[in-house]
Amino acid sequence: MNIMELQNVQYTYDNKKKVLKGINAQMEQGKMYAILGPSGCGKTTLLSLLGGLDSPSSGKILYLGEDIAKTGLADHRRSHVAFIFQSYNLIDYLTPMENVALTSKLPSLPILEQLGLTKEEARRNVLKLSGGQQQRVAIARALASDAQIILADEPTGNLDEDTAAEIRAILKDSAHKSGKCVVIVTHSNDLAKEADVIFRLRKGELQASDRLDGISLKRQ
Amino acid sequence: MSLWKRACLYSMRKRGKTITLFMFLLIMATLMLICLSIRSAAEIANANIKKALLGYFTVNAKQLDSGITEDMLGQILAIDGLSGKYTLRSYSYANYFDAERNPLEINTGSVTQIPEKYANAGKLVANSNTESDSYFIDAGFELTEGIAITSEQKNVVLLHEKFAERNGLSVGDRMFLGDVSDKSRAISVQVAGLFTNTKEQEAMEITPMYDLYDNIVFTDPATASYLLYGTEGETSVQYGDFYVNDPDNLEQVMAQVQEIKGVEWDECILTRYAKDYQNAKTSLAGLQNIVFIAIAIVSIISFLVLVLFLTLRLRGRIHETGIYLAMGVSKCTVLMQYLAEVFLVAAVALLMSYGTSAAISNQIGSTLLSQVTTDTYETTDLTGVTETIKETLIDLGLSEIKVSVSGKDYLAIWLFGMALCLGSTALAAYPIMKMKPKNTLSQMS
Repeated sequence: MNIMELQNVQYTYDNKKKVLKGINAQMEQGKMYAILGPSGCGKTTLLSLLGGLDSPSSGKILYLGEDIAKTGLADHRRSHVAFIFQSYNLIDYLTPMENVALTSKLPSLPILEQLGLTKEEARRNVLKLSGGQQQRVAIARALASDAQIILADEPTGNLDEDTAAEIRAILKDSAHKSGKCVVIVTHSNDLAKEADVIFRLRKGELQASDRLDGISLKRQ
Repeated sequence: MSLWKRACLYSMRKRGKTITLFMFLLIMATLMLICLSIRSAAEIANANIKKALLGYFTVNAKQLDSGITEDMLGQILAIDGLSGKYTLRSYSYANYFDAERNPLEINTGSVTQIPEKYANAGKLVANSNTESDSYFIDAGFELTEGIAITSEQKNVVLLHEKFAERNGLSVGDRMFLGDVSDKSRAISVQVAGLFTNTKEQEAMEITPMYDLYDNIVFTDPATASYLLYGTEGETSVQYGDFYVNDPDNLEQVMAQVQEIKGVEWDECILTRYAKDYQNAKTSLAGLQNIVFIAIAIVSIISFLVLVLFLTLRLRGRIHETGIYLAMGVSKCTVLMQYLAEVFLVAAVALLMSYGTSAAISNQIGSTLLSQVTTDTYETTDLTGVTETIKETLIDLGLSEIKVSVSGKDYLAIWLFGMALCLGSTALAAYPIMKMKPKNTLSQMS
């Protein structure tokens, strides 16, 4: 079943530049999607529209068949989606546990430990953690929420290769084991290779593909 | 996590910013409370001065054939705005005789030629209450024996100790007072008391003998009325001093007095005496104006500085705002959190401001008030006799005024402080709250 659907979504910047020109796409639960494209092509804008951070100039974005513009963007952000950013975007005066507690009423320590943080690290100020640890906290915050859709903007952009590989595995598990719909905007071929579906955004148009530079995508 | 918990965590962990805001709010609240306390104290001082320096007016009816009659007095006292306190006075000269009608000896001083009819005469002062007579208030007369004369007593006199000693008179003795121009008009009086003067009479050499302190005799208005106007059973006086409830209404009351019919007001002189109060009021009004201006300046500066401070603080939190919005926290809740942070700090600052302002305001306020009241005293002296400042302050009841933080002022500062925090936070947050979540996101990115 489609959890998200984009129907003829168009977006025009304030300077009248049309960045998205009638995008149609469907996304399912339990799958990981990668959105590729050159810088400035509108990938992050598309992610913002999916996450209800902005509204399309025209067209509809449906969550389980309902227009999110009608059900409310703030409600959509609160109930249906969780973001993971390249720069982690943690609240800097809270500990990892408190950051996770922002989106979840469940105990936050187990999920942080599951993602590789120790108890001591989970109680430390987030700014005193490494980049990889901070990104794990951000992922924990996204996973701890009830959101069925995880939107990640360059989640491994600031990480070393080993950590990036771990994060890739976590995101993949979120889709395939936890049944979430994971949408990732990335330049990383390694990350895109893990996706079930790749969307290429070129000149405002979105094309789905199951191949990446001649490499056949893995399927579960 | 609730917004209150987030607000508490922010306030505790961003200590530098919290302390800066706290210090600013504490200083602001302290300054405002000091100003309000001084204003309240000035209001109390004003009320005390009103009570202490009662305004009054004098009706001089010396030119009227019958003076101020009892009927005229009744009509004056019926006018609204009069406090009910009044003094009736008459001044004349009388010949003094003993009980056997033998002339009594007066102090002739350095006079060589004694005017005819005045060989045994002196100044006769009638007052409805000799204790409040200017001789006793300002000239240093003191009752040494017996009782003061009031309007309840009739046919009584107060004699100078020296005069009594010279003539062998003492309290309880009887004597006669005779009209200097009409020898047939004499009245028997009893000595009710003796007085003395604590200050030396000025220019004694040129003072007529009948005006020498030794020769002054105080009596009741009824006795003086008989000698002056020949009245029996009814009292007329030359002067009446009438005190008003509110010195600000003095002119109005005087105008009403002059509307009383059947009196030749052209022959009367009405004089107002409220300079003491007006001077005091002007001085206090000056202080109140300064305090009002100070309150206005502190309020405006506080608002501007707080808006600037919070604008800078919130500008650094666009990133954080974006994160909250991305998590689905509403703009209203984010704003409420920022407000809660300011309110938490403001509440502590306002609580502490009670102690700081109470300590400072009493010092500054007392100094300011005493300065104002000192100025007041120096400009309001009626007699020209300089008294010590301390005595005057006690007289006016101002030395007892404590400049302290009242519950009303404290409540006002809480309301004002919280309103200021609300307004400045809303104003500072407005540009951020106006932004689209995506723009906030791009700002934070």
